[in-house]
Parts: sequence; structure tokens; C-alpha cells
Amino acid sequence: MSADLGALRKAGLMRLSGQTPWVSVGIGTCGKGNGADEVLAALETTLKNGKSEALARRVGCFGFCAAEPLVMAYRPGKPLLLFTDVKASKAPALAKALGDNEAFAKMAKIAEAKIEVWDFRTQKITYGEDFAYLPTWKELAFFKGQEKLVLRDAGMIDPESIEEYLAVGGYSGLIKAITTMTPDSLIEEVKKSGLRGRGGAGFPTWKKWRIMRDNALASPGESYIVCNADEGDPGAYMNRNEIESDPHMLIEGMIIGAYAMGASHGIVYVRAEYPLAVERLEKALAQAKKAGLLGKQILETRFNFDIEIVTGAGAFVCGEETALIASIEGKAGRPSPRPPFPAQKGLYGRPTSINNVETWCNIPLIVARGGEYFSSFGTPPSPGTKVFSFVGKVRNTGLVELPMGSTLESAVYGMCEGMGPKKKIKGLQSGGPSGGCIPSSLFKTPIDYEHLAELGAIMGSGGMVVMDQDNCMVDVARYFIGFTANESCGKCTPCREGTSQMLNILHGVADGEASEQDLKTLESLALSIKDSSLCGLGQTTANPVLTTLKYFKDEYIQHIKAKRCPAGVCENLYVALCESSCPLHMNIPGYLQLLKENRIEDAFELTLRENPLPGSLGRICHFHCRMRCRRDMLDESVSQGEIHRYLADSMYKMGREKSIYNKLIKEKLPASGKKIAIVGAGPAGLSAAFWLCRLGHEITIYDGSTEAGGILRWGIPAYRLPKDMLKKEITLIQKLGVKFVFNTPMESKEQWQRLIDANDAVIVAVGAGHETGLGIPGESLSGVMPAGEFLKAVSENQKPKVGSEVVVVGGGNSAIDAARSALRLGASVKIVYRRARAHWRKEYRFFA
Amino acid sequence: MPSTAVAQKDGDLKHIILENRDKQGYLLKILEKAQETSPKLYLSEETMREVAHRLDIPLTQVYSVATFYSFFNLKPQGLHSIVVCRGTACHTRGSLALLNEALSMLGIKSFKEEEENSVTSLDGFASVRTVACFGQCALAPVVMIDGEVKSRMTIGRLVTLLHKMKKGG
Repeated sequence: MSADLGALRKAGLMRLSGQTPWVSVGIGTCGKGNGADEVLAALETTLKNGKSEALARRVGCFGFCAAEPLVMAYRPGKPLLLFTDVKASKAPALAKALGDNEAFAKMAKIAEAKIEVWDFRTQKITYGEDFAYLPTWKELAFFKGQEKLVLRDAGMIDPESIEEYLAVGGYSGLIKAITTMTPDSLIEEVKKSGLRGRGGAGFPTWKKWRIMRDNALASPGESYIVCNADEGDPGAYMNRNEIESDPHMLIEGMIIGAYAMGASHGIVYVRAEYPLAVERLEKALAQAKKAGLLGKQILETRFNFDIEIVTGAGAFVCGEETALIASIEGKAGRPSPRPPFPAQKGLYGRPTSINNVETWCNIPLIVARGGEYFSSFGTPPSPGTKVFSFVGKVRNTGLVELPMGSTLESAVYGMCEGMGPKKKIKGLQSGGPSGGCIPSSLFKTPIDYEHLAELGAIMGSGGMVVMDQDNCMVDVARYFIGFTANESCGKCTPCREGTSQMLNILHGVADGEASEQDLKTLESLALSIKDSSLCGLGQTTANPVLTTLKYFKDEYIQHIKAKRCPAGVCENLYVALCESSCPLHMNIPGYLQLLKENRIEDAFELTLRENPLPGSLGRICHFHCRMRCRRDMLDESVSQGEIHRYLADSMYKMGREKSIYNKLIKEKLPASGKKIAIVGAGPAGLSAAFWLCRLGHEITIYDGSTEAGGILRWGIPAYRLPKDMLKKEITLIQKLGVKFVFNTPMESKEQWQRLIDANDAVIVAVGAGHETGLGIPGESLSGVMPAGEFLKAVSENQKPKVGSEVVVVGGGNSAIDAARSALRLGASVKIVYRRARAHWRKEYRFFA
Repeated sequence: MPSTAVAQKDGDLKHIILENRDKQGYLLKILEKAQETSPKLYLSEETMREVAHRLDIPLTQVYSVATFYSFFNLKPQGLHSIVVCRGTACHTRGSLALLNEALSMLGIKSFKEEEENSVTSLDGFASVRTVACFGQCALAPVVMIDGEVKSRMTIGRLVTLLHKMKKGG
């Protein structure tokens, strides 16, 4: 290393781990959007006013976007402290903590985690050990299982300081390459690493380089390497962060690449939507030039190479190689057929090699540490790591760097911690508009090029948008096709016309105006667009349609047949979110309005027509409506349970339900002459009987126990659902003419056959009462009891013997019922729950 | 007033063209800078003619580029700008409702996202546009108001911000 670089490096090290304490704020675009600039400004002012020698440093983004702004504090010899969600008002406390070890230790108490040592991969910095009670950063759920290779410096160094980049081993790969390696041995090293293109297609990088080098040698003159930073996939922003947080890493990768491929010019094509990335890259280029690492006679050798920035102007198709080249040449970004490939005839007809930002960013590490080091991460066909952006419906959104081959499950439920108990994750969309939707049932799939392609999705640049029950998959497909129809450059017919035709059909489905034949047309259209389009954009544009049709067909069918959007997204296909989410589809807005007008009898009648058990359900329903209620945004969701109870209880108390019962009985259709048997007198059997008998059919319900009600009678404790209430509501069904046969468990084939022979239809409504157990050792020990059995004994008034100490395993409805019942039997109760307290249903935390 | 602004702009344009004509991606660079420095942030017909003339390229090429990329405005823009991100993460977190709210608050009747890049209120007070993705997906939904990105936007907050803008705050 030259003397100049040595001096820069030393200055950087002094800043990072010298005698001066510092506090750093992660400032990427995400941080800025969340007030990181204000935090840094407040810290600077406070330190200046306090005449402190400590520094306030700007660093890149640490990747944990959901917890921005992120702040770290450093005192020599102590671990770094990591704070999340920091407000500017915290500045005085932070500044004070930098002053002495005592204050620092006090501050550690409210830190999120500590960093004792950081592996920059090209350098290690040991900060110190202390604060045993504090988890290390790796122990935080979000970082557990991550491997930071590409993001090794992000959030740790100042992206605008070449000194700091040098201090952590930056440019050591370049120096090694230029001073000790030949272009051929460099390509060999990249081959050893097994690195594949990180833009999504996964072409082996060494092969791309080899072809380019051979072409450049065969045709002397100008040749170009291009960094594709036109990250247009909505939902993906790792390239933005890689440039914003560590621009020198990209520059170093490109210089090494130019040396290996013999290129004379480099171009970084960045989206115009990323102004901060452009600004930092410009600064970094100027610094590299000044340090003699870029420009003429790099590191005092005969190697010349320079990099220019071109900012795109908002066209998704420019991510395609040939379109990108047209764009640089000053034309509209329309792709052209390949071959010739860019490596043969690219920019201005000269050999050109285009690689994605993250591909370039892996190069310095591969050269500095060797190809084998790199391939020790990931899987043999897909070595290394990949940065993914997990966004959408997960608790911890952010950038996650995973070794290839990690499962989707580990990322969605592990690092991102899922969505909690209130919402159910339905699937995720991988790879942007060219990718596909993967259902949560396939989350055990390892993430690598091949496995994702098998599912019909692609890795793409690594955007993962997680969706939950509130997202409609038809709408998702429509959204993506709308996007590509809009972004299609119009050059080839399949893509231009095909996408707009697909969009028409999808609009039809979303409006409830499509038929099943339309789905067939949609699929065949999708397949022909895939087969016949000119460029990658067109060939992959149908993926969202094909995958949603494959994995979420039931949603399409519901839109078409039932004219319902279960998620409550497609506006024409639901009345209100509460109505749409209610399994009975009760007219909730209707009875609320009647209630508001003080027409309590009418409100009760409207309720009763759809729900024969309003008083019971008002007490024990799962309340899907409350999970979707928009009132949530103002204060909290409307308490449908209480409203139901109020309606039913008041009506019963006033005795006014009888006239409404009579109305329903009078309205019964004339006898149809059809006989229907229902097996099971639980809520499902009772509702089926309620509806069918009003249609004039002759209904008999068979049940193995002594009374009707099923789980309502035998599972839910009386303090939650008084048995009288249930009994009263069942009388309506009896009054309507439904016959009950009790004490008749269905145990033999002959019994079933007799039932089938004697009836026009048999409905099996036996519920899901089977105990599955936990599958752990010790379950058969005496004293261990499944919740269902226990609750049944309680509801039969048997007062089961539980002793004085009870442990309940689980935290759901049955568990809480069991715990409260045991408490009432005089035991002291402990609940053991596998998830964190924060993940528990709010209303239950009250009991603990 | 208008005449000096135009004169100033002419000077700028000559300078912009001279400075960038030999760079990679020269036409994009020149058009981007020309739009940036134009008082109403758009590319007028004269600007495009001038660029074609000075670069000695066909006007059709300039027009083709200016109409291809969504970044370029061919109509004068409003005093304020509201950009609603329509990326996937923002979409799944309700950005369409935000877009509709912004339009209705500015009295803009309709905006066909798939046909035009931006729409300006009749009084020229503000322009609303959409963008494919800001890359701020973790903090979705995102809206940019006068160049400042606001994350985790809600309809309530948007209404407050637009009221403030209307009052000149």
C-alpha cells in the first residue's frame, strides 16, 4: 500500500476505534424518512454546546428499517451499544453517556443490543466486552441467522469517507488483484467462488466475464462494463441501500472487474428515484480518483479505468440489458433481440458486460478472502449470500442478508417475526412484477435460484412482499399486470397487447363480471405471452397471473361464482369489511344503523335472520369483523360482541323476541317433502338446520350427547357462556320444527347407511373436536389432561380433581378457558406459552 | 418577469448541453437537467427543439425519449408536488386510497395512472404524480411532498399535511 493510502487508512481507524467516543446515526433514505437527520443534528448540537470531544457520525443503514432511526454509541474499550427507534429528544442522554463509563453503563440499560466485535470480513474490530445482561446484536430475532457479507460495512462506516472504508480493509482486494494477480487468475478466482448474477437470473459471473474478456481481446478498442442499478422492482431496495451505505464497495468491485475483463470505461446506471445513492456515489468516485484508485495509471500501474454515472428516468424495462444500453446511447429504452449479446455487440456496438450492483459488491470480498471463503456460505449450486428486502405484512420489515438455501419460513417467521396472532400470513410475492406468489404452505422451500424457479417464482433482485388475509390475490395479480402493461415498451405485440388483455380479464374478475371460461383464456394468454415475447420483461410478465392461478385459484373462483372478495379489497364485491370478513356475512352495517335509530327490534330481527344464536355468539365469537374494522385507525375496532349481547339480552329481558320468532315460523316455505339428517348438534349443525328448515325441508339432528350445543355446551365454560342463554336460543330452532335425537353416537357403518337410506341428504357437522396432543414425551403421564376433556368434565359439573398446582400449555382460547376454570376449582395456575408475551392476544395479557 | 426567466433558462440550456454532450447517456442527462432548471419543471416544445438543434439529432429522437420515460413532464407542473408511491409494498398497505384522497383534496376529478405521469390542479397549485417505487418499502406507504419523503403515511396525516400546504405553511 502506498504511503498516502496508509495515512488515509490510519485516519479512518482512529475515527472508528480510537480514543474518541462517538455516536453514530444510520442515515439512508429509510432513516431520513423516519427522522434520522433530526437525530443527527440534535446530537451534533448537543455535543458542540457541551464542548464535548465526542463525535457525531453519519453511517449507512444497518438494515433494520422497521426500527429506524438506529443509533450506535461507542466508548473506547466498551462494546458498541445499539439503540432503535431513537428520537431527537434522546440526544442529551446519549451525549452524556459518551462522557464517562458510568453514564455509558447506565445508558446500556436501555440499549437494544451490544456489538462486542464486528467482522468486516476484510478486517475485524474488537470493541470490548461488558454488560453481560445485554444481548449481542446477533441474538436479536431480526439478525439471528443473517450473514453480513455484502452488508458487512453497512451501518458501521461513513459511506462518504474513503478513510473509513480503507480502515476496514476496503480496496485491499483491488490492491491484491492489480499487484499480484493476472486477469485470467482473477476470473479463475471468481469461478472458484461460484458467484452467480444477483440481478435474478443467476448466470455464472465468471462465465460472463470470460466471454467478455475473450471478445474484448478479439476486438481491440473500447469496451464497457456497466453496473445495473436500475432497481425497478417495486418492493426491492437492496441495491439502493448497498450504494447508499457502501459506495466504495461497488466501485472497488467494478475496478477489479474492469481489470479482469480488460474494460476501459465503466458506467453506473442508477434510477433517478434514488438521489441519495447518486450523491454518495459521486462523492465516492471523486475520493477514489483523488486517492489514485480510479482514473489514469491506477495504483501507479499502466491500468486506466474510469467510471461515470448515468441516471435513468423512470422506465422499468431499462433493467433489461439491451434496453439499458439503448437508454445510455440516448434513445428510448426499448430492448432488441439477442443475439448479438451485449458481450459481443453492446454499447456503441462494442463489447459490454452488465452486472447487477450486488454482483459487483461481492467481488472485493471474493478477491480479498478467496473464492473458497465465499463458497463456504450458501449451497454448492448457489454459493454465498443474498440480500432480500422483506416488506409488506411482517412485523420487522427490512433488509435481510441470508446464506442461500435458508428457508422462507426462517425469514418470514424468524427474522421478520411474522404478523402476530391477529393476522394470518397468506403468502409472499418474490421477485417483483416478473416473480410469482408463493403460498405460506410452501414456506419450507429453500431460497435459491432453482427452488424458487420450480415454484414458478424467481429470486429476481430479492424483493419479498409478504401478504396476509387482508390482501386479495386477484387484486395482487391485477396490480402487477397493471404495472407491466403500463411499463411495457410497446415494441413486441405479445407483451403490448397481451398484458392489456390480461388486465381486462382481471378487471372483470375483480368486478365480479368474469366467468370460469375467462380464467382459461387468462391462462392460455399468459402462457403465450411467456413463450413469444421479445425480452425478459415480457417473458416473465405473466408469472404473477400463473402463480396466483396455481396457488390461489379458490380466490378467483370466489370472485366469479360467489361474487365475493374474501379479503375485502375488490370494491364491487363486498358491502363492508366487517360484513365481508364475517363467516356468516351478517349485515353488520345494517343492524348498526337500525340500532342507531333506536329500532332495537328491527336490529334484532336483521341479526337473527342470519344468526340464530346472537346472544351466544356475542359472547364467544372469534370476531373476524374486529380484525378488519377501519375504526381501528381512529381509536379501536367496533365491539360487535358487546353490541350483539346488548341486542339479544335486552330483547330476551323484555320478552319481545317471541313475536319475531313467530314471524320467522310463519314465513317458513311450504313443505318440500325432502328429508335431511344432520349429524352433530353443535353450532354448525344448528345453523344448517336453521336455514334448511326455513326452506321447508324436514330436518332431524342426531347427536351423541344428552343436549344440543356441541362445543358451546360442552367446551366453553358457563361463566363465559351461560347455559341458559344457549338453551333459550336453541328453542327457536326447535320451534321452527327441527327434531333432535340425542344419545346417538354414530359409531357403525350400518348406522350411517340407515341414515343415508332414510334421507334425501345427510349433513355431517361434527366439528373438529379431536384432541391432537403435543407430540412430546410425557403426555401419557397421569395428571396430564387434554384441554377438551378437562373442559367437558367442567361443563358436565363433574368438578375434576386438579390439585393445587396447574400448568396450562398454550395460550389460545381453550388454554385460557382451561386456566380460568382450574383457577375457579381452587388451583394456582401457570400458563406456558411458546411465543413472546407481545405476540399474545391483547385481551389475554390482562389475565397474566 | 417571464421574459427574464426564459432568457435565463436559455443560457442554462446552452450551458447544460455543452457540459453534457460528450458524456455517457448524454440525452437523458441533458433532458433531466433541462427539466430540473425549467421554472415549471417541464420540457416545453421549444426546449426540445433547441436540444435537437444544438445536438444535431432529429427532433423525433428527443421527443421519443421525452415521451418514453415517466420522469419527463410535457406539461407545466404545479407549484407544489405530491408523489404517491405505487410500489407493491405501498399498494398492499393502501396507497391507492392515499392517491384518491390527495386528488380529491386538490379538486382533481380523475387521474388515469396508466395513461399519464402526472396531473395538475386547474389552479396550478399542485401536481400529483405516481412513481413505480421509491425503494422505501419497509416504511410503506410512502408519499413525497415537495421533495420530502414521508413514510408510514395515513389518510389522516395526509389530510393534515395538505391543509397545511394550502394555508401556505
